Amino acid sequence: MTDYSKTIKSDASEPSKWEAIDDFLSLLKLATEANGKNIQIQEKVILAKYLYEANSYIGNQIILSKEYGFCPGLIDGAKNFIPLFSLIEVVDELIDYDRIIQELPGISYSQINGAISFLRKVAQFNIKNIDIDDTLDDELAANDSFLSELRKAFADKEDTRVLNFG
Amino acid sequence: MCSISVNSITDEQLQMLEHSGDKNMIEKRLYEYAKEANIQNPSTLDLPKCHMSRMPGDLKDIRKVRIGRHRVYFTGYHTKCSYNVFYIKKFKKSGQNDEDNHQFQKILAASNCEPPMRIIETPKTRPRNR
Repeated sequence: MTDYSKTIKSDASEPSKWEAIDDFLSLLKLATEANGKNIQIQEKVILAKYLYEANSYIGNQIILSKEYGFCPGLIDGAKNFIPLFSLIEVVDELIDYDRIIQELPGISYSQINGAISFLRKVAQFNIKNIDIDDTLDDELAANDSFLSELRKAFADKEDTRVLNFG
Repeated sequence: MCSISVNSITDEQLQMLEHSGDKNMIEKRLYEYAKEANIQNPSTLDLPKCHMSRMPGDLKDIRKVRIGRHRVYFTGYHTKCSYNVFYIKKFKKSGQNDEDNHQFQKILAASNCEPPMRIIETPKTRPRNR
């Protein structure tokens, strides 16, 4: 029977200086990653604490439930969870941007949209690291009937109307 | 000021939203976003948030803007000073929750509540010189 241990032993050599540096760099990379993760968790805790305190201030009307990763929301009369970002979408639908501009002259449609989009994105906070928009987009991108409808519409190059409110 | 046009499919979709008042709201906002843009300056319609990198290859260049709960799909850039809207994913007003809400609940409730973590391992030492 061949004694492989002898062959291995004779082939093995002491770790070189470069390998030691390699190991050190790998360790350093892991430590940096861990530190980055730690900072990320700390930031989440700070934001979660802020949301919790803001909620206490307004009388705990917002639900910050562990079940939904502390994503802020409301519970309706039928005990359904309504995420706060959905409420912001409804608000966006109902508000009149021109009335806002009358009150705050000098701001633009894009700025109002930016502010609403910001609030909506903040309201998607959750500790599960889920990007809700990306997840919903992924679902749409995998929906064959939606994609075929979209392709059909994309192929329709016939411009019927230029929008004009001038 | 850039122009924005709608194709026949979008026009039909907008007509269906007329009774709720959403037709005017959507058209006005799209018009104002395009109006704020010119060859030098982008508007909301040119922001990275509108890009849809997750779409299949043939639809990679399309973009999307949210108006309330509706999603408006379009092409065009401020550099060409022209945008074309080709589809609206209308929000179905059922009187109850948004369809996204149910998806959202599924997404968040199904996953593990703990944030993802990784155990730090000692780096694997490469095989020594042979």
